[in-house]
Amino acid sequence: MKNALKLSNYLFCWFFHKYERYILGLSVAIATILVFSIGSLKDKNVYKHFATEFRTFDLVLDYSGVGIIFFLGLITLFASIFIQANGFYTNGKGMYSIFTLPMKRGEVFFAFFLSAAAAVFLYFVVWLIVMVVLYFPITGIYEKAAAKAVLYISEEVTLRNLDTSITNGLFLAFHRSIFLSGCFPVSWIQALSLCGGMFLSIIAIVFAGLYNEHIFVRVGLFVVVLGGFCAAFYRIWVNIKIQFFYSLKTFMPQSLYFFVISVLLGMVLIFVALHTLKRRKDI
Amino acid sequence: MKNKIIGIMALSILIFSAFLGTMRGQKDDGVFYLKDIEGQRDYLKLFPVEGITGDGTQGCIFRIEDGALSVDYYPFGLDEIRNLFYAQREGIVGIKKYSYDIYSTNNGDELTSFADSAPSMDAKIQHMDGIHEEAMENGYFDYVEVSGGETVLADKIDIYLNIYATNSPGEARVRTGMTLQDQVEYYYAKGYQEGDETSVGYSSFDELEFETFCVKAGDAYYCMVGSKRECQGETSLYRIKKSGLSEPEGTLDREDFYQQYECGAVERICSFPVNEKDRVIGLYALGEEAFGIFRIQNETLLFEVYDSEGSLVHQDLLPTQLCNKIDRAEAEITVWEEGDVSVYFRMYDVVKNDDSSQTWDCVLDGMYQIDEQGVKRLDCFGQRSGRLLTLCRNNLVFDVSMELDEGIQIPSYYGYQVYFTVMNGDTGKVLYQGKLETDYFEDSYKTVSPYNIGKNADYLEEAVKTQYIDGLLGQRQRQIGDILPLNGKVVNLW
Repeated sequence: MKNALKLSNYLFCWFFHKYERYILGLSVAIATILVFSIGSLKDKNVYKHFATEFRTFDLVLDYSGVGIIFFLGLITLFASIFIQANGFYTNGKGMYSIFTLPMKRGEVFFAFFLSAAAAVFLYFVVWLIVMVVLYFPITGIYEKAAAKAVLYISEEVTLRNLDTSITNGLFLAFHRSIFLSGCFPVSWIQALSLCGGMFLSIIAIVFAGLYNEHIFVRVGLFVVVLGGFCAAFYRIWVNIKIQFFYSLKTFMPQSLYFFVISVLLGMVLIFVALHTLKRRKDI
Repeated sequence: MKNKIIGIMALSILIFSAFLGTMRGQKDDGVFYLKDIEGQRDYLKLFPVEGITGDGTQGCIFRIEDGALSVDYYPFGLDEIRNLFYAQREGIVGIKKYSYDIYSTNNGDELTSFADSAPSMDAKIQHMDGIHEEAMENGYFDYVEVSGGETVLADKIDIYLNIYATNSPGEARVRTGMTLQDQVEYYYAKGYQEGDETSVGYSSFDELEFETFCVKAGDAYYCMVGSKRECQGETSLYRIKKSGLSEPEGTLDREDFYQQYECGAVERICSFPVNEKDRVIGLYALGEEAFGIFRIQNETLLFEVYDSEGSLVHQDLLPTQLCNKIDRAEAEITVWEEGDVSVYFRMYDVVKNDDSSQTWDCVLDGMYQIDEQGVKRLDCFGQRSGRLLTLCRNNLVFDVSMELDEGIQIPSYYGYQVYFTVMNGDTGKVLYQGKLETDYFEDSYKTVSPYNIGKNADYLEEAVKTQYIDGLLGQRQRQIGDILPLNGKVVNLW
């Protein structure tokens, strides 16, 4: 177990230095630029039809496409995990050196899994911190603008200093935004299905990286990774359908079913992976 | 650092836990409590209710029982909460209640009815080539390719009652004894489809919109065709059991202009003569064991209660001078588990406008309280619109209705508040009035927003036009969805 931790530490540090810090840095930078540029108070922008104090943080995030950047980054992350694991066969170091360590093969797999899991955890945590931190300046901009505005109801009646707090709020932003409620859940249902789906995807991508006997197994594992994504982000798909396609779908009980299925499938994949790696006699 | 993995995992879990904890703390359910305006809350305890409220992303199921408000919050939209609510009322618990869908509950086993017509035996029938021009004008044949057709004209037609069940074979059909004569020309048109052996039929009877009633009392169904002023003859109340459906004898040409067969084990209970002054306008189930009929006889409005055998149990004359104006009746019937029944009826005068729309004016309303002591009529004091639930029980009238808040008087501003009122059934004295106090409302169409509308703000038009805002990003409302009594079922026939 100690060796597995040491190996995973080494793998993770390597991964971070080679891939993750760039993916994280780039995606967070692009997201911040997008949010500030699109959420600003310039005249010609997408939020023209919302009065200033009704532009909430969730509105800005969803319209600005920051969610797409998050997903592109996540997919790049998974691709990099795959490349890192695959690289042990193709470059000079090879799986030979890994598998000649004084460790069981299962522990090697577990080390890769831990490193990948830590990478994904880090990605989510950094994005969460960035989203929370971005909330304050953006809503500050709108609240300041709203405080200056004035409503003329009729010739006699003018309203000032309307209470804008009813539409803002950190909890509301995370609950109502399609992107935030799916990726940084405030409801236990989505937290469960996110964990289950990500667990399945990480197992599958690590297995795909370490297994290079048959190409169609690798392709099948990529499909499983996609399946894990679907299970994790089912809520986002449902919300998009409700809002843009006028259909009425429910989260429950599908979200819970997805969670159970992905956890079970993940366990099955672990057993298959351990068995397959143990079976390799050539290395 | 010694081991980054453990550090990262632990830090992530810590941050997510802190995040979830802060979110739970920040979650603001807002102000939502029952506020007394006058009277004693003890009267509210006699009418326990539950209901749903919310907006596109969150809401709650609330209960007012023993005068106390209890609330369960859910992170779902109002429609999902409605499914949960009805599932809980049906008694479904556990994981199954999350997949309950009220729109797909299977009613295919119940009997339903409709009315159609055929020329009478002693009618003068005329055959005509081509489709009647009125049928073409109505636009019925606009969407089918027809090449030629035929029309049958008759001056007197009989009205038939058809009964069927979606999931069972067979049907029942009986001639009701109601006839229409000489008011207009009644036609049956058939258009032949191009390249097909089939034809498409249409009759002028379809435009007349006859109402049929089919209610279940005990283990049998009671059906009747409601009458209109132009009818003559008599309309009968029929009883049929589910096993009474059968296949019609002989071979039928389903594509014929009209059908004149009768089939099914339909039993006639009683008949009411119909003409311009005598009409039957409503038949409603009052729980499992009884049903009620509204009819007009000789310019008096009657409400009759029958038991499940079909014998008259009670008859009440409603004092009104407006029988001439009453065209339709509608009733909301609440049945409690203990057997008490509350009927809230409204009588409408239907006015056909020039643009082929209809205006329904309520000319009379009232309530009936039916319990083991008998049938009693009560007045349903108060305004007629904005009602969510109106009940009467134990000589008390309970009313839940919405009224616009006095706050800001701007059109499209959702400031409705819900008021509960308990009144003495005989005098109308208000014994209790309360209000569901909430701070959760937002104007859907962004009319209350601080900008200077003296300027040419084009986003004002945009905000009013784009009503898709009613999705996730739009609202933060505590919009009352449904309110239903505990231990009681409401059959709402609006």
